[in-house]
Amino acid sequence: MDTKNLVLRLGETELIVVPSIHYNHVFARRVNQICHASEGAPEAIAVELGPRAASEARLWLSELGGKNAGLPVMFGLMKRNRRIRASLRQKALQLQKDTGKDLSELSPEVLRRELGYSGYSLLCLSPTDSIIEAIRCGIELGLPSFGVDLDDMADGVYDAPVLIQNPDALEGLVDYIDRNADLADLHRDEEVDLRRETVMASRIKATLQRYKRVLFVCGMAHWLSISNMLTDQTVKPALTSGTPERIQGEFKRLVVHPLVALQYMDSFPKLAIAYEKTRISASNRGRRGGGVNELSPTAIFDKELKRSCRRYFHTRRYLQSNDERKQDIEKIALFQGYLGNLCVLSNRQVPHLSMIANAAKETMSADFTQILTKTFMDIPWVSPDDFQDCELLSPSGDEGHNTGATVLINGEGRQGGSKFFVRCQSTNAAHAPATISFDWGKARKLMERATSNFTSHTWSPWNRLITSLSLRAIEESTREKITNIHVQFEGSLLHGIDIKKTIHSFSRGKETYFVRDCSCAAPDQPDFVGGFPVVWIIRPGNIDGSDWRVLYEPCNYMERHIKDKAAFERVRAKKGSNMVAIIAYGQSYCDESTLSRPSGARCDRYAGITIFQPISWSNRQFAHWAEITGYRRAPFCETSLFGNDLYGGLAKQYREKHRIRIEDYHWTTTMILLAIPYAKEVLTVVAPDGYRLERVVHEKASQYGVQVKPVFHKKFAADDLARLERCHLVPAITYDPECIYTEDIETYIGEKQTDNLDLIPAAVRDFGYLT
Amino acid sequence: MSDNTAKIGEKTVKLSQPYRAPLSKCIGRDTEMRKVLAAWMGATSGLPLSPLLIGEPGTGKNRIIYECAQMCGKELYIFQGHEDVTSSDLECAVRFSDDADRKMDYILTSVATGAMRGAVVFIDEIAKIRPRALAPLASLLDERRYIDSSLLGERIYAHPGFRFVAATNTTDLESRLLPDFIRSRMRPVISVGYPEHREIEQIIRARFRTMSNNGNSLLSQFWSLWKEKNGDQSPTPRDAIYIFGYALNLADFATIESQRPYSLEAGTHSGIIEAGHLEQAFAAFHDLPPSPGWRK
Repeated sequence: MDTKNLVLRLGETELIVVPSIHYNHVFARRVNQICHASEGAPEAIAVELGPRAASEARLWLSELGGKNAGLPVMFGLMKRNRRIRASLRQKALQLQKDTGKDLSELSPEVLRRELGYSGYSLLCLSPTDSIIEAIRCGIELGLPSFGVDLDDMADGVYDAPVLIQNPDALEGLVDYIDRNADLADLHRDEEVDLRRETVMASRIKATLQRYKRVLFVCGMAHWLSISNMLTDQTVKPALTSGTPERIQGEFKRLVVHPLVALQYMDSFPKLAIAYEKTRISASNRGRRGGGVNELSPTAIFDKELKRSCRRYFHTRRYLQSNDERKQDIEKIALFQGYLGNLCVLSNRQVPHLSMIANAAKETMSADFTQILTKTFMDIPWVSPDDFQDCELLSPSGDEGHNTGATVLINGEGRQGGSKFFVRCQSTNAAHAPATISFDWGKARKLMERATSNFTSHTWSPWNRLITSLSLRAIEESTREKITNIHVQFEGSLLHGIDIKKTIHSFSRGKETYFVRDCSCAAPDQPDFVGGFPVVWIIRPGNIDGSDWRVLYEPCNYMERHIKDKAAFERVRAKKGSNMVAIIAYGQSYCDESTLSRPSGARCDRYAGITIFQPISWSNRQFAHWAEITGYRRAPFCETSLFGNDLYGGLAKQYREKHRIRIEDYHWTTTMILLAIPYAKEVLTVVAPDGYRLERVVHEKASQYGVQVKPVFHKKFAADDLARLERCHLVPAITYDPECIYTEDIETYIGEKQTDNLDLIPAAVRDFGYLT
Repeated sequence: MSDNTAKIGEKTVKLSQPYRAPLSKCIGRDTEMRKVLAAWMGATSGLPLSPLLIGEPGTGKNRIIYECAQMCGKELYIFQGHEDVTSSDLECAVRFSDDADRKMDYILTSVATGAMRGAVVFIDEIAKIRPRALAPLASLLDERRYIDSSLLGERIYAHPGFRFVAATNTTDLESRLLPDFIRSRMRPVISVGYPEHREIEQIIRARFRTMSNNGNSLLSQFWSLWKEKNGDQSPTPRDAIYIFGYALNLADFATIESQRPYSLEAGTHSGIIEAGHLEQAFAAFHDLPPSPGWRK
């Protein structure tokens, strides 16, 4: 970078200006270099923050370590926002009149949508932000720093992110400003920004009356306007009153969740950390070459990408994976090419993390994307547990909001929380966290929960086995589907002349006529969404000690992944907190040694099973299933414990809603009856050879417009059926996105938790990850 | 050889016609368009990618493709997917010739024509096509870049400028199952979500300029009626355009109610949408029960 500074001489004074792109390390480095200069160093620092915000930031930065200390990521300051745009005054009054509510009583979403209002504004103490760097340098050099902007202002309305040249390869600041300031200026919000710029110009003039040489750091979009006002004699110096008095509670100190912090960390978190590692305190003034060693974002990106690839392609899971997943090795070049093209079109030298995650999601497998984002996010984040006096700011999980949607969780108990929209200063809305998954300390918490509650989960290889066998059963039962085929005309018109085929034949010089024949033919592929539930009658006799068992997918597991949360809440309130995955009939199975059984593990032996959806899925996939089926393809019930629920709420539901009483029939018939209300068109029943359905089954099926189709045991391997009988319920270390078990469990069951992965077809495995 | 015919091997074939979309100003969707263009750009790996757009009906998938094709200055050939498509429908068709000297004409389908002419080929509702009918696309979308026509008995090579894109509704994709051999060739998979309210408003303002005077109040009324009828579900641009379009028709109708015969042509009316029209339009669109699977 050119050492030439942008200096504005105003009489006897000098204003050294760094018009910046916020949160970009290039400009932070420029500020650091200016402060390192042994000659021409500033005497004071002015930044584009309100006086109180600048003072509060300086105070906290000083407390966090002062001189020569690294800045942990990510802390933030949040302040209540009280302003609405003047032009929206009438609309605000009308809104209160229409709703009969005060503005403070309206939901944050309505205020945001109707008035562009955010309840809070957020200042992240990001190491790569030039403003924060300026304040840090001020602390390190003992220079006074001033906030010259307004403390209170309405939210600006800004168009799409400004597509200006990426500064990573920037040679000289002055040239860069010349080339890009005009474009940045076009995207200002005149209504809000003009007032701010006037105040900033006025306060800078006042500061220059006290100090001969001032460093001023502001957003690039404001610079042209401010520079004009600085030379405009009609803009008078402000009457400054020094450092403002601190108002207790005006600012909240926050630990910012990594997914929110991302927007304030340059292209990706590793870059911010690299900057922080190479940064040298401004107190080492005069150091040759400036305060920060050169950073190469491209090199850091390449290194992290390589690290991700090593982690992904060298794992045992990958090596054991099926062919589909192995295609990732071929697609990696496509991914890189696509990402490179996106960078070209976005005027960037390196992609930002959201771009990386999106491109991976769109071209590679979900597993690769997960490892990639995990690698790029793998930095030492500040833990909220270490800063109990700070509140926690975390994303609300709302999708579709680029900036600002957050949940503020109170320090006390750190749960529940209130939802606010927080105004972000980030200039690049593409840094949305929606596509990036990051589990902050989740593994530890889930481990605690798993070991404390002994929550049991079905064994994943068994889930995969029953899912794949059920898919096969669906395929068998839908094989006999009426399909049009064409045959050569031999005297009977059958179902009419096939004109197209006949023309084809004539075009080839064969004057042959074809007719359509509606006969039995195999469909292309079974419709697995429509094919469930599937009933498995494994041993139809009477078994002493057997009872009904119900296994669930709890709604709180799915909640995070649900798109239409309002509809989900309605379903949960109306139907119950658990989506039924399996209803089984069986008994506990105790032939294993209880000594070798890990705590919390048990085994059931089922004579019959009704499976309502593929259960090899992650919580996200269950959520997607529930949504696309309109919550109609599996029962919901209230209790969240495994066990005999059919005599409770679920039995009542069946009795009252579907007029099915479980005690009226043999358990095999009951099991089929329980599935009928949730079938789409065809209900597949896997039963022993020669099994005959009772008449009541046909009557109930007819009532629901469902065709019950038996598939006999002879279509399946006896070993598979025998394994299907035994269902292990075991504790898991984590259940999100999928269950992971300890080695003890593998030893106890005698299977690897990665077994049967190859049984799941790609369509079922990837279900829900394409949207 | 005219513009409408081409010679493939020894055979003369008729070409399909490109689609010329009547485009107004496109609002929003910059990110999605950038992704499609990035996929089509020549990459260091050699081949351009073939993106698949997925999203709910009416969210603007087709519009994104029209814009991208226009930005690249390419012709656009559209093939509509449905359940009765056969593999030959993607290659070449025949018909009885109008020319008395010929028995049959070969008609190159829009997919083959677009590939041959270096245009953008867009298959809409690709997930509605049965898997075996999609087989000819396999060779067209990988490094081979050709399509074999069994009817012609010829191989049709794609022009280097040929670009491919497909779109499908989310529900179709989930239930119909695109076969792996197509899914693996269709990257990136670009999700097209619901636009923000601000964008919907911009679209409505751009489309219905006659409501400029009372635009704010009409839009406020639209959102409150929408919320009342649909809860938190966002509208698609199509939903909003249809409702406002029908409201405008009602307004227009009021101006010509006494005239006979009615003039149904656009541009001959001067109605201004009022609150009542919007209410009537909402009632007309929402008093019918939604069809199954209409919306999640």
